Amino acid sequence: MYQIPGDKTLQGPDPENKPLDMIVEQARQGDGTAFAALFTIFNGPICTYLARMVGNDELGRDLAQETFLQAWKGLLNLHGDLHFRAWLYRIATNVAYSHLRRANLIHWLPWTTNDEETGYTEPNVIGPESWIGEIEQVQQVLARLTPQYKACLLLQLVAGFSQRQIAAMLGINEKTVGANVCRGREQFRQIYRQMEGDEK
Amino acid sequence: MKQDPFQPISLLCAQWKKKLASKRVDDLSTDEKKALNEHLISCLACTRVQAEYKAMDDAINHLPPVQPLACLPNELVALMEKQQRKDSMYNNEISKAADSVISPAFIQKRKTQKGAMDAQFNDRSSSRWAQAVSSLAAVLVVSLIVGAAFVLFSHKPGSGHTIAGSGITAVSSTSIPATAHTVLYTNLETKKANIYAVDPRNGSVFWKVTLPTKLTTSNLTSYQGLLFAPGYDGNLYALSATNGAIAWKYSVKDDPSQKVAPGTNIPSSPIVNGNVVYFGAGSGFYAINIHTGKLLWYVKENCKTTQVNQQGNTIIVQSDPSCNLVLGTVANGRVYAYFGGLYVLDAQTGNELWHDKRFQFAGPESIAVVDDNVYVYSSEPNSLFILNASTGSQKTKALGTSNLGLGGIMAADGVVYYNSGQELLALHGTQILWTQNYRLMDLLAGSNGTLFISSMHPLEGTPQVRGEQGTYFYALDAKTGAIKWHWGEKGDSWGPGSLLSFDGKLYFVIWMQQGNKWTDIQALWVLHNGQRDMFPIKES
Repeated sequence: MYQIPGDKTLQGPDPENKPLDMIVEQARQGDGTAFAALFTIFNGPICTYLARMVGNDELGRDLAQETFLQAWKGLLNLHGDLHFRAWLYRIATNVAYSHLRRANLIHWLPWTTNDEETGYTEPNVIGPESWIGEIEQVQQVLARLTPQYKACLLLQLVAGFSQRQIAAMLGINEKTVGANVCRGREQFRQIYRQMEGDEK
Repeated sequence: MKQDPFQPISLLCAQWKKKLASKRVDDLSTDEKKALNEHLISCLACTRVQAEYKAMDDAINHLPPVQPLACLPNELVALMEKQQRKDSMYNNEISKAADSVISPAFIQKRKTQKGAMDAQFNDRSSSRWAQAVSSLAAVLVVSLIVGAAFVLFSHKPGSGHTIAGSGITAVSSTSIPATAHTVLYTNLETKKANIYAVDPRNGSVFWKVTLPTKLTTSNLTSYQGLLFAPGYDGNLYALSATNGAIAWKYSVKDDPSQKVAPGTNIPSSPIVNGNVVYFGAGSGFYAINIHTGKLLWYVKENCKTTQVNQQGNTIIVQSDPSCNLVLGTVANGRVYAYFGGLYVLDAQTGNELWHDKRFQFAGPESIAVVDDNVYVYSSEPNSLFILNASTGSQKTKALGTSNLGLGGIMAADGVVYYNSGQELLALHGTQILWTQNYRLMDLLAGSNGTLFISSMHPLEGTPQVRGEQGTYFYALDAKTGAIKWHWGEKGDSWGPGSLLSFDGKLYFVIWMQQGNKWTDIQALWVLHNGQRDMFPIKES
């Protein structure tokens, strides 16, 4: 556990140095220029997030297009209790889920909060692990993670959301987020090891 | 006392490892952070776990960044252009256009789409976007036209008479036959709405009336000798279509619920069917007898309206976004209404018949009913669904649409026309009659076997070469979708707000052109056989 930098959008930079909220509000009023500014800010992070979710850069970009389309169409439904950034990632997550569901790539798990129900186990503490971090291998491991674990892991790790934010975003319990992140790590470790063993 | 770093995992360590696996430092409380630091100093096992997770996270975080999209997706740009254009079509006072007392199928369609647009949609006709995309010139034209409207149609003191107790002033009143075709139009900009009834043959004004309020829609339609004007003052006005005299008004200020935010209770999107006018207001839906003005039923919904304000020509009702309160359409004894899903009510009693929460309000032109078929567009996913009107059950597999998800639907003469964004389809029942590859166009109206659409690019273009931007009107053969004739011009993209079509021609009121230049004279336009006739509006 350590402090992560998150993506650049955490600080909400924008080309005209306007507060993100102001740009979002202008976009909500139908201002295409403002929405284009939001696109500029979130284009990279959303493409990266979606590419990680589906394990393919090109597909990730395709899904990012769909995400921004849905965001434009749904901006009127954005309301105060969810910030634009979280809302956009929620759309992206749903777009990724939809794709995976269509492609029958998901083994869906119920969103539950009880550790016993979800088979929560403590993380394996044998280690420390030496993560060589070969790019291709890490990507392959990520691609094989259970989507719900992966979404929580990436939203926390790559996008820098807190568990509370992720819980609100995905409409699940905060404890479930924690459990999923934990399971995601454990799954990552196991798959990584398995792949290493296969190579040897 | 220091903990032996090689001792078996303690309960304390198990708790910390669980947190190490799932949380960020930020997610820990101050006390937890302090406790963790103290624990890590003394626990080698947990230190190793932390190092392991950090290495794992580094491996993920240090993956090479994904190349972002090069630019705004084309489909998104097209959608924005389309939205901008729709705003021109429905919200800009450039249009000030006409409406109809004929062609009931179109009356209903126009009322549905325009009313919903006026009362429920945010005005997306942003001048900034216009600048960004294409049409600064169009905005300037709009400004000129709006300015001119005040000059041309401002109330002339002393030229009319006040109808006792109504606050309504009638000007140049000339009675007309109830069956006459009449172009009705109004101006949403003025604090007091001027309503004009215009002769479609020559542009002369039959009558003009001034109401003591702004209207929430510019789309006025008449039915059985009455026209219904929803006012910002909380009244639905029923006026005589023959001379503009007030027949009755119904106030929603005395809404039975009394639990909506102050100032939010305004009538919107009236739809007439049978002897009843239906409309939505702050907290529910109303059914009023058109002859007596008496309330027949009221259905309260639990949609919390928080604020109403006006932007440009659009009344914006801000409410719980999960339950946009929109009247969709009324047909065959059923009221189709949106509030957190599509609800179908008995038109006589207001009792719920069925509902389907898959279908959220997806914009105007998103629902049509023909016979026992309900054609409803859903943006999640972008598809057209055909439902059994009696039960709500799905009749066929949904028709997919483009990602543009425009989904305009219009019913006329028993045929449903569906604009998918990529193509135009004609459906009868569940059968597709024809398909034409017309992209990014708007369904307008139809009559006498002619379907009118418009586009900001020539339909003859291809997705790759769309042709020059402008305003293009097309008359299609309703049986085949083939182009019969078109009229258009390059330059600004604009569109009339409401239209009249009863004889294979298209009528609307807009500003006069001389050569290629706009003037400040308002005129009746008549498009037919590939040509345009213009008649300056003449007040008698």
